[in-house]
Parts: sequence; structure tokens; C-alpha cells
Amino acid sequence: MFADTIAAVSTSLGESAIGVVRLSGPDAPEIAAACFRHGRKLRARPAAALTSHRVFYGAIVDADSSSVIDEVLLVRMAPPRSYTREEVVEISCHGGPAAVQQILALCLRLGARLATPGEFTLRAFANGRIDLAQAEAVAAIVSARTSSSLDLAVSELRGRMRQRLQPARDLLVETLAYLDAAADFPDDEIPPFDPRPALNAAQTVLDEVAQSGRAGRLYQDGVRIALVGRPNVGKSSLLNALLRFERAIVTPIAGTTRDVISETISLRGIPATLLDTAGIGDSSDVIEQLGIDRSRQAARASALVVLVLDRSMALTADDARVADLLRERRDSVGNDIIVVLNKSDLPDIAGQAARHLFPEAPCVELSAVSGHGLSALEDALYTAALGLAGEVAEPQLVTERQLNAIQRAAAAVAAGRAALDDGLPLDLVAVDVRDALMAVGEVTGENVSEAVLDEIFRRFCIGK
Amino acid sequence: MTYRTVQPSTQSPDVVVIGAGHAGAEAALAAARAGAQVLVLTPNLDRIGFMPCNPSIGGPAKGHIVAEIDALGGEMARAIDRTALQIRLLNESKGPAVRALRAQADKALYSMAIKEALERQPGVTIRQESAAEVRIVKRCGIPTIHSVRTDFGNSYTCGAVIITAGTFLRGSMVAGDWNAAGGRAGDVTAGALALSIGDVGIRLRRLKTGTPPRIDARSIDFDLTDVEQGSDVPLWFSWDGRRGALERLELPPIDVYPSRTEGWRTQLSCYLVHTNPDGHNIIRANVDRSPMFNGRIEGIGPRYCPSIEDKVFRFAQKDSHSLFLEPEGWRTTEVYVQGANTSLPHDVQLAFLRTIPALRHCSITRFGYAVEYDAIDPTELTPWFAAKRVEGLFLAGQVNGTSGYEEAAGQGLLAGLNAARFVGKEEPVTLSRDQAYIGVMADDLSTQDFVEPYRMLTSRAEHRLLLRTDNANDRLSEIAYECGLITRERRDAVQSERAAIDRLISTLAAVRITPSDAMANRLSAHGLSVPNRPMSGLEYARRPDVHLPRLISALSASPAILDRVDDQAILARCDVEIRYQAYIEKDRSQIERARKMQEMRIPPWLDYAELSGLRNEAREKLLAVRPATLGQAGRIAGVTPSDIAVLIVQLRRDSALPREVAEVE
Repeated sequence: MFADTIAAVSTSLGESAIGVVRLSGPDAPEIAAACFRHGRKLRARPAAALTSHRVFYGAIVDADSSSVIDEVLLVRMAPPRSYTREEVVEISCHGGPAAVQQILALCLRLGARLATPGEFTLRAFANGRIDLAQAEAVAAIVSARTSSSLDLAVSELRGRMRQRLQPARDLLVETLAYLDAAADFPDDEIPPFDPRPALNAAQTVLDEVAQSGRAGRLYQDGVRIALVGRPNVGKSSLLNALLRFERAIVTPIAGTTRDVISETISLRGIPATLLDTAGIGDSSDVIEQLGIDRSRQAARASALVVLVLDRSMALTADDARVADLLRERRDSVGNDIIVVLNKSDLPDIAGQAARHLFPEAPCVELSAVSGHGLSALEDALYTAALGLAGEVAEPQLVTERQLNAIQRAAAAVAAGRAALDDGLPLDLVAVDVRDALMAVGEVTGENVSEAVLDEIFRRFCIGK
Repeated sequence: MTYRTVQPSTQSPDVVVIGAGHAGAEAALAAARAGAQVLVLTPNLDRIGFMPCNPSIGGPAKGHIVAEIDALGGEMARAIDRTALQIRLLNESKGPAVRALRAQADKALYSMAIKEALERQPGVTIRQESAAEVRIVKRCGIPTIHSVRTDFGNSYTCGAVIITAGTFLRGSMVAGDWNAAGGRAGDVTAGALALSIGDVGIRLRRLKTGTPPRIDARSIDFDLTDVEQGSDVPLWFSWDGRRGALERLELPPIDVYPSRTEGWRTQLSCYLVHTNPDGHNIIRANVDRSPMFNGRIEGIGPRYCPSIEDKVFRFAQKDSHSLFLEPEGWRTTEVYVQGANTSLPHDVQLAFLRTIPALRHCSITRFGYAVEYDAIDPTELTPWFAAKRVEGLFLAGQVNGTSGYEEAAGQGLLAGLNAARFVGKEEPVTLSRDQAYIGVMADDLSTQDFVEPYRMLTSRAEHRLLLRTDNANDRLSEIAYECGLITRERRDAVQSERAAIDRLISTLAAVRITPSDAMANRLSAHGLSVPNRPMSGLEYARRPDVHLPRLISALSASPAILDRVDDQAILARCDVEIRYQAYIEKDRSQIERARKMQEMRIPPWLDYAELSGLRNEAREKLLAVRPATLGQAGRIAGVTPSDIAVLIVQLRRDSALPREVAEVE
């Protein structure tokens, strides 16, 4: 058990209507009792009177100034029936970010220490409340940036990962049982076995989980989207429209944006980082040239590129140069392109010509000024972002380590298939299958060799 | 070889070995070779290196252990090479890692060969005398070996004791209604010794094993069996055997066996028969008389060695099981019925066997029976087979809950070596999991909570591609030499063979095989296909249709591109290393990556009880086993990755704070 008591705001700041301050550690009840006043009459209550797992209505009062900070609901959870298996108190208030911060500050003044990111989870893990996979999922929450990520993290806590990997694990155990039984018991009649169907099926499962894991990573890590175009087509206006507040400087003078400006928005739950780049054009201005180089880098580092064109005037040589650059980029890096025809509030001059630049890319007409067409762009971006991760019905929250293990498992199964096709002996195929199983075991936490032996003895009549 | 003329004093030997089976014999030999004066006590000098169950040695994983015993200077490989009446190579097509030799032995000659080795070994004295008590005293508060007292009333003061009691600790035999005390038909039990071990608090467990009936060869209709012959090419377990440096022990076979092969050595055949539903019905009808089914036996039997009644019940859908008929010697009519383990009553055993056409007139010479016995919980041991609770006490073989002659011998060798080193105040020697099957076994036994007798399987070795029979000498001869188990000449010979292999591989890597006319002629002349693009000799040698000896002949033909290599063993080893190089290297790099974490040491004083975050099951297991490294901890059954994460956090915290901790104290 840890000796000190930690406190933190356990809802994300500024976003939700209710804010929760959470305390964990031996002094949590005393700290709560010192600042909590019960009921409408605001009666002080000793810590012992705060019964576990009951909701108390009241207020948080700063005893020094006798001022009421906020109206709250308070729950005490005594160990071991708490998230950390320690004394936990949760204070829910609804007074907005300021009240939440004041309550936290008061708790800290009363002897709690500000928790470091993930420290509640660390305690839950260290006190045996959750296992490693769960801890990792919670760690993902800590860094998750939008509420959709949180939903995923929570369902992960229910152990879906193990469930989803189960069919692959069973197929691999069965395969290895056959291979090992044939090797270890040459005199026993192990029926002939073609590992290919089982390996193919396992591969399919692993690929699906990896795929949904990559989609899950998309929800955690987000996607980078570069806005590119020649100067003054309205990239910054578009960024601002998307952000719905002014961040980039918008002026009618071409080349105002000299640096790359990045902002993160929630694209239907996917954290999307938008990079507004300097206009790519022929420029002799040194500073602008620098900005342009950065733009090129930003486009290179982004998974999605939005080509912004001005629909209200004929395409220029600069537009063509930008398009060439993107074509080149797409052919080498393979990033996805979405064409935006800005200024749809003005008469259409270039629309038809512009569509011919990238006939296969989605094309959205919009007006950054009026906001018309923005939701169509969001649709297109969302679809393209999901497309990066492949078609996935259900994104799976995974940590980098888990995804890595699943991908290693899939690669090992593929190697086993290749070994079979190359006519390599069964003991080498078994090496790959064992590697795959061990990688799966890293995620599910299961011991491989005993499982395989159990399967051998269950399935075959071995014995001399 | 010469015999010593002077016997050493036996009143206070360095090491006393109790038992002279497969574990005891290797233990005594290794301890003596490592420099100790060794006294071997056994109740019956005619049971040295005795094979009470199957008359064979080797097979997958077991054969690997035999190769390692040989590389470590042990006796088992030499003894079986001297006394085999059949040798075969198993799993040849299944890959390089699982290929293994298995031999049928003449049981009597094998026993003679082991006894002879003990008698010849300087530093070993053997004595027909039963150990009654291992006396332990406290030195500086630590229980320490003092002496061994025997049933003759003698007391031998010694520095270390190796107990290799086999199935004799409270052994009890049973078949049907019959039962008798003892670990083996014809020999008595060692009850007092069990008490003596239990007294120091070493946990014991009850295990079970069994043996099948033996039948008279003259009562078998061999015409109704399938014949399995020995290998027609020379095969050897031992280094000395391959070099023709062994004196073979062989007798002219009696004429009751219809099939034998001559050639590189005379070999007897084995015979295959099958059970049928009639026999299974007899077993079903009498199952209430089987002690394993009616509850008279409580011990846990091995799943890989089920009794015939087990097979019939657990695999009810199978209406036939294979039985192998194996001669027990050149000059005996007794035939072992492999696969028919049983503790059914004698009349049922006979009726069952007689449902098999080839055995319809068979006569049983010895009936099958089950044995229940005490074995220690091997997590009481270190990975070098020393008891954690008693200084100077070592245990090896079946008493540790293993099964099999080979497993016993491998443990005996390591225990013997370490007992000698303990007496000589030298650091213990262990073998790692990527170094030897014996290392896998030692690690498994000292960490895993096995509920059934432990048998070595290739699937237990996660690095089995590195632990091949063909490279056992490469893996172990250096350590064997450093410990005094093999001579410098032997070590040097192993190294020069290794160098020859490396040379051949690097030469092939440098050779270009091209579709040019000259090369095409050269290859075609040796029946090799011509590649359609240039490639290195190594790449070419990996092609499935390329036969390495032929390739070497082609390349060494005039004008020679490389030197001729005629040594078939070297060519075979090169072939394996070239063909499977990618896999072998992958395995090696995995080991290197994992090594750092695996080798993280856990201080012996780590207080698991105080460690928050461990699950209760893991805490109990860790307290019981007290693993030395994180790798070991991770292999303990019941310890999950989460528990390991807790340990890592703890170890990191400890190593980060040593100074502050010291200041506080």
C-alpha cells in the first residue's frame, strides 16, 4: 500500500458538465471530511460517518474563508471495493472548470498530493486490482484525447481483446499440438494433419484484430491532415472554419501564413491534427521560402492531404505546380488526397478543370466563409481516415505493445505458411507457430507450452 | 583402459551417492571426474544401471539428453552404443531439431557396461549396503549434511550426499488385488530414507507409474506381426562410438527371433501388433478390478504413459491401439510389450493379450503392475539439483518426480558434478535453457509445479532448433572440459570439427554458382541442376533439390574451387546449419534480446509477502520457489505477466535506491 494520498481531476478539463475530483490513499476520508458539509444545512461530518458506497449530497466549503465552493455529490469507497483498492473519495461537482480546480486546490492544501498522469491506475495495478492488459488500456485513456477514445478504453477493460484473440489462439494451439505430437511421439498414430487451413483461419483472425487495432490506434494517436494549396486560396480560413475559432491569421494578402500552424480537432472522435501550411508558390521571399519547405515536410508527414483550390478563379500555374507536387508525393508515399473547391459562395469558374486534377479523389465544394459544405468535408476526412486503417466494423483499443505483438503473431503465422509452401520440415513450421502463440500469449497473458501439452494429451492417445 | 589397483579409504568420502541406477551411476562418475572421492551405496550390486521398464534408450528429447550426457563426458551414450541390439533414427523427415536416435538395449549387458564404468572410474568405490539415514546437523543455524548411516550400522562422514532413490521411497506395487511393498518387482523399498528426507521438511508427493507384462518369444506368432528393423547405416550416440573407440558387448542371438539384420552390426528387429475391440471389451468388463479405477491407487500417473485401461476408456472411439514387441536381450526369450502398461489383475492381462491374433497363445513371464512412490517436490531444488533446505544434499532422478532413464541420468550427471564442486567450494554449474535439454529440465523442475511425472519432450524446449543432437558437443564440450569431465584432447577435437564446419560454410558463401557453361558442366556431371541466375554457394546449397555432398564433390573436382570434404558427419552438420540458417539465426537473436530481462537477478532476501500488487497465488508460488532470476520467475506456473511487471517495478526501485536504503539502516 502507498502511504500518501493523491488527488486529481478525473474528468477532462473544460469538456464535460460535471467535474469529478478523485482522492485515493489512507487520508482520503479525513481530507474529504475536512471540506465536505452534509445536506442543505451544511453539517460537518466525521470521516467515519461517510459510509462506504453511499452517495452524500452537500457542498464543499473552504473552512478558512467559510465560503461554499460548489454543490457536490460525494461517494466514499472503502478498500478493497474501490478502483485502487485504497480509500477512495470521489467528489462530483457541476460548477465548471473553475470550481473543479478550486476543490482540487483545497484538497491539496488539506494534505493530498497532486497525482501524476496514470497514477490511480498504477495504484490499481500495484494493489492487484487490475491486470497488465487492463492497466495498459487505462494508460491509453490517460493519453486519450477525445471522448470516443474513452468509450473504447472502457470496453477494452471488459477484456474484449482476449475474447477476440481466442479463436486464433485455439487454432494455433491445435496446430502446434499436432506438430509437436508428431515430433515427440513418433510411434503413436498421430493422424496426418495439414496445418494450412488452421493457419489461414488464424491469420484471418489475427489480421482482423490487428486491423481493428490499427483503427483503435487511430482513435488514440489520431491522424495528421495537411492543408496545402497555392497562396491565398483560403487554407487558413478553412482551418479556422474547421476549428470554429480564429487561430491562424487571415488576411487578403497572399503569403500571410509563413509557418505551419497545427491544431487538433475531434473528427467524429478521431483526434485529427490539421496542419495549415504556407502557400506553395514561386516565392523569392526567404522567410516564405522557409515556410514553404516546412509545408512540403508537413505534407510528407501527413497521412491525408487536403488540396485547397479557389473555385472562383481560373486555375493558375501555381495550382498546377502544387498538384504536380502532390501527385509525386502520392506516388512515392501513397498519402490520400481530398480536393476542396473553396469559395463556393462565389461564381464557379474553375470547378470543372479542378476536378480533372485528381479525378479519383473525393472532391468537396465549400465556402470557408459561410460554412456551407464543411460537414461534407468532415465526412470525407472521416471516411478517408478510417480508410487508412482499413474497413473495420469495431475499432479495438490497443496499446502499441499489444498491436506490435499481434502483428508479430500474424507475421509468424505467415512465415509458417511460407515455410510449409517451401517444403521446410514440420519442426521449423512449429517454430513459427510457437512464435505466433507466444506473441498472442503476450497479449492474453497465457502460458503457451502447458496449453499445447494439454491439447496433445486431450486429443491423442499417446503412450507407450 | 586400465583398472586401478589401490582402493581409496571409504570412511570419509567427499560425496556419498545413494543408489546406483541411471541417476546414481552418472552422479558418481561425474563427481569423481570432477575430483571428488565418491562412495556409492546400493542395496544390490546386481542392479547397477538396471532397466526395470522398457529395454530402450533415446527417442525425441530423450535422445537429445543422451547426446548431451555424452558431450559432458557421461556414460549413458557409450553404454548403449556398446550394448544396443537395434538402433534407429527417428523423425528423419520431420526436421533437424527433432531427429533423434533410439536404441533397444540388451538389458543385462547394459547394466554390466555401467557397472564396469563405475568399477574403472578412479575415485569411485561401490558398496552393497543400504543407506538408512542421512544425518543432518546445524552449522551456523543452517541444516548441513553430516554423514550417512547404513543398515549395517556403519556411518560415513561426508561433505555431500546425492540421493537417487528412484521409486523406492515408500514404493508400493499393485496389480489387481495383489500388492507388495517395493519400488520394483524383486527389490525392497527404502522406507526409512523417506522418513529421513521428510524430517527436514522437504515436501513429498505421491506419484504413480506402471510397467507392462513381458511375454515369452516362443509363444508369439511372429508371422502375424509387422517387422521393424534397425538402421542399415551406422548410427552412434557417443563420440567414442563414432570414432570406433568402443569395445562392443554383444552375444550371439538365440534362434527364437525370426528377423535380424547383419551389416554394420547385428541387429534384432521389433514387432508391431494391434489391439482390437474384443480385447477392449475384456478390459471394460473388468475395470472395477483395476486399482487405478477402483481408487486403490491415489498417485498421479503420467499422461504420456497411460495404462492400457486408461487408453481404452479415455479414447473409447479408438478400436485399436498399437503394441510393440521388443526383445529384452540377445539371449533371453523375454519380450517387452510396449504400450500395454497395466495394473489389471493377472488373469485379465493374459485374457486381454490373447485377443491379439499374434499373441493368441502367448505366455506371460512377468505381469505388469503399477508402482506408487514418494517423490520430492522438485521446486525444493536449485537448478543444479541441490536441496534448498539442506546444505550439501543433492537429489537426482525419479525421486525428483521425473520419468525415464535418460532424464534420470542427465540429472545425475549435473548433480554429481555440482556435489563435487560444492565439496571443493567451487561455484555451482548450471546449464541454461538455450544451452541444453538438461538445462531446460533443471529449470522446469526447479520452477514448475508438476502434478504428473516429468518427461522430457522437444516441445518443452522453446529453442529446440539450437539444441540439436548434432551440435551437442559444440554446446557443451567447453564447459565439460573446464569442469574436468572430458579431456583436453576431446575438447580440441570438438573445436577442430567446429572449425572445419565454419570453414566449409564460409568457403561456400564466397563461391559464385553461375549459369555459365563451365559451371553447368560441372554441376550436371554430378547430377545437380543448373541455376538460371548467379547465386552464392550457400544460397544454392539451400535449394531443396541440392545434395550437399554432391555439391562439394562437384566443386572440388578438378579444377578445384574448394577442398574435398569426406567426413560424412561434418557434411551432415553443415547441411543442417546451411539449410536452416535463417531460422537458427532468428532464434539466436531472440535469445539475445530476451537475455537482459531474463537474467535480471532477484535478490534472495526479497520479501514477497510484503510486495503489494502480487496476486496471492503468485505470491505463494514465488515464496515456495524463490526464483533466482526474472526469467525463472516468469516460467513459474501461476505467475502471470502482471506479477512479473510488479517484480520489475520492485527490482528497478530497489536498484535505484541502494544508497538511501543503506543510510536509513
